[in-house]
Amino acid sequence: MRSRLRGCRRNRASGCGAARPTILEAAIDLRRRGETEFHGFAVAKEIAEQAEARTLTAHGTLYKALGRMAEAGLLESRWEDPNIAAAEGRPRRRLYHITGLGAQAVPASDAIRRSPAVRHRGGLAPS
Amino acid sequence: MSASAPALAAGLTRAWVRLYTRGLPADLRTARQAELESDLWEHEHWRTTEGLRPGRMGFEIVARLVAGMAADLSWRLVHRNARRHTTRPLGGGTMNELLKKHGMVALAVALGVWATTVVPILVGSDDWLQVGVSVSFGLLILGGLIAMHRGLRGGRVAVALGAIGTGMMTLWLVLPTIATVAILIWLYATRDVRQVPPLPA
Repeated sequence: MRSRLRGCRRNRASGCGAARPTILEAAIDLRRRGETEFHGFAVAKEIAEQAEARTLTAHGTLYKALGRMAEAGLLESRWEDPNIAAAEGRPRRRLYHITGLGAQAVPASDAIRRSPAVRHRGGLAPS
Repeated sequence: MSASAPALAAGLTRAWVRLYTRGLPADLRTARQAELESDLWEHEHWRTTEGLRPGRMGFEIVARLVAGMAADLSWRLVHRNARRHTTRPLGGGTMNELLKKHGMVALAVALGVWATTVVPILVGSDDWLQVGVSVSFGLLILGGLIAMHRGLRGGRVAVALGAIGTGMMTLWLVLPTIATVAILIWLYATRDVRQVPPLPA
């Protein structure tokens, strides 16, 4: 598992490394507020609010990163009960929750973000 | 126009998702389309509640679409390659299987050689040489498409060479040829899976 994590971290251009720390931080912030599960758009909104940014994370960047994080075991996902979505008159959500491994990875990603080299490059914020 | 901007932007996004998920395994494709559908709904719903102007909302959706296109294509490439490696092993097999796999390509090459060399000699005219070369480039495209269809290496290169050759032989046909070949490559490279399963429960 550790090697998969390292692969994910190295492959920054693929979108996983670029958005992973921010997504994990956003997921943990949502969990602190009692939202143990989140959908893609909720995390995009949370990231924008944290960064005080006007723009939301791009579709491709966001869902590619979420997929890779799930493959790396940092997140797990399930599809929402269709009856709930139908009752609220909206499409079904894919709900993610952060795993133990994902929660452990956040301090490491914080350290990466705070390192001078990363700060010099403009941080790891998603495109 | 401004009022319909979010719907237009959402339509563009849906079209793009359908395009880059073509030919991928049905479960993967359906899941990505459903996830984007949910995202679009949430986006529109949130911004409508906030009272954002429709024009601005449409712009936001398109900006998210465009900014993520490179990641979408790279995601597709990863899953496409993974599928090829698991479902279409290259090389190996019995002689019968190899003949079945390569027979059409060999036939296309043989016809190309025949059209390039034998036909002009038999007819004895330079005009036919030009026709023969053109036909052989056409057959190269055909062979390449067959190779791609059968998951063999070099198919795309053959198609590209055939397209360039055809274009050079008949300069006035360059653009239509390239466009046609590009469409054919796309269709063959992204052959759709017919059965679309429902989303996982």
